[in-house]
Amino acid sequence: MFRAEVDGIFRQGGPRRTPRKSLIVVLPENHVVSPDLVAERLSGEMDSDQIDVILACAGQPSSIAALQRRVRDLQVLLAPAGTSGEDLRELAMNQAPGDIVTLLSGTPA
Amino acid sequence: MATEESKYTQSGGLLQTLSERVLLSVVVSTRNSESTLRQVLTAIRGSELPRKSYEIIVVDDASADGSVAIAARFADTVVKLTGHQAGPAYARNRGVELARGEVIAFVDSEVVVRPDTIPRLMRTLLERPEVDAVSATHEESSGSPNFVSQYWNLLLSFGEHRHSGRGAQFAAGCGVVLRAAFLSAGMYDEWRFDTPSMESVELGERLLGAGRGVILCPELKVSHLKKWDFASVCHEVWHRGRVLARSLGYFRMSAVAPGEVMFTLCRTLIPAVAILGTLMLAAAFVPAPHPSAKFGVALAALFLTNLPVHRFYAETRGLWFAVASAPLHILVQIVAAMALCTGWILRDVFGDVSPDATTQAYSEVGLEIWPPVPRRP
Repeated sequence: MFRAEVDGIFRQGGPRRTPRKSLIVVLPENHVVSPDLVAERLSGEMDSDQIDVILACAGQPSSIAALQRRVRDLQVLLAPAGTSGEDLRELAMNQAPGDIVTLLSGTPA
Repeated sequence: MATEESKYTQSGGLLQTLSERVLLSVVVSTRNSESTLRQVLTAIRGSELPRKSYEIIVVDDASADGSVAIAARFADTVVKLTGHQAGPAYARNRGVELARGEVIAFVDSEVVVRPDTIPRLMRTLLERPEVDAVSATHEESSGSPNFVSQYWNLLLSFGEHRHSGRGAQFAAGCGVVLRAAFLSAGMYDEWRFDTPSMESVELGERLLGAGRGVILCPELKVSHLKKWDFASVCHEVWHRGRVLARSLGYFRMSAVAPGEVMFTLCRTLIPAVAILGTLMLAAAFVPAPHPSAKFGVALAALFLTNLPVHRFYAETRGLWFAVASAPLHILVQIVAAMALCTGWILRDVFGDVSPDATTQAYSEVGLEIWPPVPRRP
């Protein structure tokens, strides 16, 4: 009885069964994003197609087409040129809907 | 300026070889810590460790301030818990579930580490196979300069230094534990501890009970930024005392964690009461003693039994600080005694602490939900 009531709550769009995940890829100015890096991180997740991926860029990004091909529904957050990496992280966090948010530098170290 | 390579060599050759993989996960649980979190995370990022060798996981326990935004600037992963306050035990467990490191460091959102604190804790853990969990102690000087903060910080420090190196003193302020040991001990007890109190001492006791080595390093100190006032100290003592008496067992814990501040406060009460009782009995044979004499004798008894604490204050802060802190210490001791009595009564009447009925029902049916229902260790 109790179980059925709980299932009803979930069907009505109440609490979620699993956490929503977001991946923020931070791309400082004049850097090129590494799609392999993002793909590698996503491949570690079981439900990688359900992760919201946000690319936070300072200035106009170049060469993000490859990443857009590999990540469906990629959100691109454009910040003014000169925005620091830390500010980009904070801006992107405000947009990230996930309960668990992973922050990743978009360029290989 | 030292190169990155040489800097890590200074902090230990062992750590230098571990830079290629994530060895350490630093878990910071936070709740409304906007004022201190930036300093805390900056200090962690300033640790003498290769950046690739560790990750920072911040678990935000339903903060109403800008803690999440600050966490985003420094952390590799941010977990946003929603709803009501779940407590640091619950938050730290969620952080460990996401951790990739073989070693877990817990750092409080009000604790500032030195650049070598975490590397030295790691080195102790990795070089001594008999040790599974190691913690740093309180700096004698608090990060907050007011009198009550200094008093409370010194009191915490007093117990840690008198009983360092033994006992279940796993301090979440800054402690490092092997992931395997933490998991096998059953993680933090998020079922009973939904507010910050004695959860780390209880975890230390379980680790010891499982045959794991737990030590406290008196030479490694961290600075606590929290600003205490008389009300918050009384609240803390009241809460710790109740939890100690109701959930953990005073005598059992005093044997395994003698450095806990509640024992520093209460250990001296029993001889003080005994001395007072004897003097009152003796006073019955003295014809009409003056009330001020009775009061003076009572104070003298309390002062004598607390002499080690007062001497510690005098040595570290000077005689006047010791004199000024004596009345405050007596008041805090009275609160501690009342809290213990309340805890014992609550235990007899209601039993051990348990979550609310809804949480218990969710747990019983094994409900999958986010944030997850608290689990028993």
